[in-house]
Amino acid sequence: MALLQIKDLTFSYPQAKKNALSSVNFTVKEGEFVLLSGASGCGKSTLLELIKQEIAPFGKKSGEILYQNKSLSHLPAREAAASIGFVFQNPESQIVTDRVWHELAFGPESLGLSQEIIRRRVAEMAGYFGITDWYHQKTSTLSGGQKQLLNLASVMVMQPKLLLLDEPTAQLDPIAASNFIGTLQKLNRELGLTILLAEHRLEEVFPVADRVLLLEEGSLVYDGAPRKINRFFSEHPDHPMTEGLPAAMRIFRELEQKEEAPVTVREGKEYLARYEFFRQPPLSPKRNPSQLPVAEGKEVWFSYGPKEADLLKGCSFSVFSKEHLCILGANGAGKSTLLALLAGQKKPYRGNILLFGENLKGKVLSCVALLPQDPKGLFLEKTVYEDLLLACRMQKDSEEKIQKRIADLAKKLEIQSVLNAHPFDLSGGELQKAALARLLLSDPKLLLLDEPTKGLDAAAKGKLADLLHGLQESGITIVTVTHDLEFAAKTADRCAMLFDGELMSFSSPKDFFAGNSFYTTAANRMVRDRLPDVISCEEVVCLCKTGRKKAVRE
Amino acid sequence: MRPLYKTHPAVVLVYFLALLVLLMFVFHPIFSLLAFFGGLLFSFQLQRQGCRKELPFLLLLILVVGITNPLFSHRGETPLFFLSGNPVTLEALLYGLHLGVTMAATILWFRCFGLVLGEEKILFLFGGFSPKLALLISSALGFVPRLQRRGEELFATHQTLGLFSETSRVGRVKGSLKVYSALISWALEQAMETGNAMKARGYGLPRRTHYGIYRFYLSDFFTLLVVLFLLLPIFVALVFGQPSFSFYPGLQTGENDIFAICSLIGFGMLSLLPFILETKEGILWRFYRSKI
Repeated sequence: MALLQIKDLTFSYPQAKKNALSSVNFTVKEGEFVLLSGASGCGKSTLLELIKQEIAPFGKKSGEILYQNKSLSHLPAREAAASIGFVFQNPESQIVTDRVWHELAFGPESLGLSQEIIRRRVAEMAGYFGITDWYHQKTSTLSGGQKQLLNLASVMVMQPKLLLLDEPTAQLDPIAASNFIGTLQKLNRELGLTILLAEHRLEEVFPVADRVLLLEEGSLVYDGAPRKINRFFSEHPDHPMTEGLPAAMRIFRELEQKEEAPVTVREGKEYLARYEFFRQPPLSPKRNPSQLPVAEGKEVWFSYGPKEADLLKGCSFSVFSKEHLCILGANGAGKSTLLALLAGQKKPYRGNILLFGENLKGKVLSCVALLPQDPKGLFLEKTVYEDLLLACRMQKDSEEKIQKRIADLAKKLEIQSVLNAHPFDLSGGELQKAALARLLLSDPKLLLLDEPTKGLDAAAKGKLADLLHGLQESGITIVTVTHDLEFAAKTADRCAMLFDGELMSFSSPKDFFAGNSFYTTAANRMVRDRLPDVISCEEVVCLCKTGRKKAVRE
Repeated sequence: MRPLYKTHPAVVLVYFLALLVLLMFVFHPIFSLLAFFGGLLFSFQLQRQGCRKELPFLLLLILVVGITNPLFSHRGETPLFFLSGNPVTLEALLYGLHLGVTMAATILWFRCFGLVLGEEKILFLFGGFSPKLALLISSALGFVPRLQRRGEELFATHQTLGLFSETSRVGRVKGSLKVYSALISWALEQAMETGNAMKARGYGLPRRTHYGIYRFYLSDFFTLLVVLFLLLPIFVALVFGQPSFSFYPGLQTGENDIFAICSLIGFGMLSLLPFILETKEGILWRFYRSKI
């Protein structure tokens, strides 16, 4: 039975030249898990918000949205609030109250349910989501993953029939994200909940989704099974979405023209078993980084207070000139703290940090720039341009020179079109680039990046990687803290792991990932039994093309 | 009957209000002393370390108030000695000590009040009067730590970018103002998102209910009864103008009739009640454990 029908839906925001959505048609059956994908700004959020009446954007709308064969506008308000649930992207801003139990009760309170019913529903949900341990805690003490799980639970407590989620894992680390998606899968399997999910992390969602909808500039261009999306991409080989596909699919589509593609690592491994590899892949030209240290840590100890646990315990490291060092590690391992120490925002209580041979001692050096996790914080003015201007003025250049510098930089980073926009209105990728422009204006020699790929889609990630490579060429040393293994494998010269207060296993990405067994890229997991140091899809494809295909009876 | 911090907040509120009102408005040294010792015992049970640290301060307070009063008040009929021609009287000294003990007891009980009730329970009690106000306070309490963290982040970020490195004070102040205004626009954006999340979860529908996690158990009812029972003789005595006590001109108690004695016993029991409940629980546990 069709739970939701979208018929010829067209929508445009006031004063917008283009339609945000143009004649979108699709049906969601009861109990389906549907993935809504597409590059940022393709209309995913608009579509989801239009289905959730209470938060529908203003604008010109035509076409119909039918819920259980009735027009959405005829649905009583109480039923609409309860039976269509919505989870937003930002885990923090959608939390209303200060206590976990109160947050769970908020929805039922709005519905006017009685004390007894609320008690039962809250108890049930807290048990199902494993919230009982932190049921009495303050919401501000929760981790990002816990917050998003709480948001999901406080929607589920209203017993929705249709769940809409707008990039719920964009702000989460990979472990919390796959935990969240696992919970969604459980809800779908065990309760038969209908789910419409907008998401960038296709590696995890593709295997669990029943159907994929691909939006492109407001039009629906693909509607079908995830494994069969290859047919669409073979007609559009340069589609930006292809980069974000699961690794197994990315390898498969380079090698075969068939429809049914492997999706998971297991399936990819099975598929690759039919290839015999002859030789090691041509090693990507290894950059020979200088051994000149730019930043050094000498037995650095750090803790947030005398009674707090030590975050860094005698951590020693050196960062060499013009290299790109990626620091990986679990949540709360102290990665961001390490960057704050390098930027001079915090001081170690023992040990020294040397930057360019100078002992830092909590000073702020102008040749160091730090990109925070949320780049919005860098912007203080009404437009991006004014902020860039502010950055230049601090250096007291002449007005003409400033104009030229900004123009050059905007061209280099391709942000000319957003210079006059408000920083808060930019998409994730644009914001990241604008933030880099802001930092580059102060001529940094050492660039520190805190989770630069958070919330970016695959295309934007690819662009960022190229951009960082260009910066390295121009002589900037980069230290990145990230959870994104694929990004580290692709861009880093060296990787290191922060664990138990120490930086360890400094090595090239190849050696680093070859040494790990599950903390490694998907491509590596598929071939590591045979070729432990192959870490990227491109290498696997190259190996398969030069290798021999065994005869397989199908 | 369970220990006070496990009792329903409404009963706890009734208890503390009654105790504090009596302590402040009944003028009797024995009342004050009973309240002081009851409070001391209870607060020692609640927070051993904190109480131990606070005790010297409280004793000092009693001493200072006790000594200061006779220096300024020379009423009373038993002069102890003369100070620059003015009598220092026993009555004034005792009156001062009484005042000090009352103040110390009030401080102790307010501290216990805060420890036992806490913001969560106070908010729950608020919700009974005005659910809207309670929700507003609750969301504000949730937002403040986030705002604080964001503020710290912003200042650190812009310090690294060199916004505050200007030598002139005006430049630095201008920089801070910019960061504050950015913080405000961030807060507004967050508030908008929170508003959407609230609407999405049906906020604004008519007939909103209020959910509290505290249940009113039979034992809570029983505790309330005991409190009321102890208050009864005190109120009866108060109606008859008992218990009374005057320091000036000489120390004098009112009629020590049955009313006064009952009210003193009642108040003594009342101020010892939390201590008794807690100790009973401790003994019970020891008993249970020896059985296991």
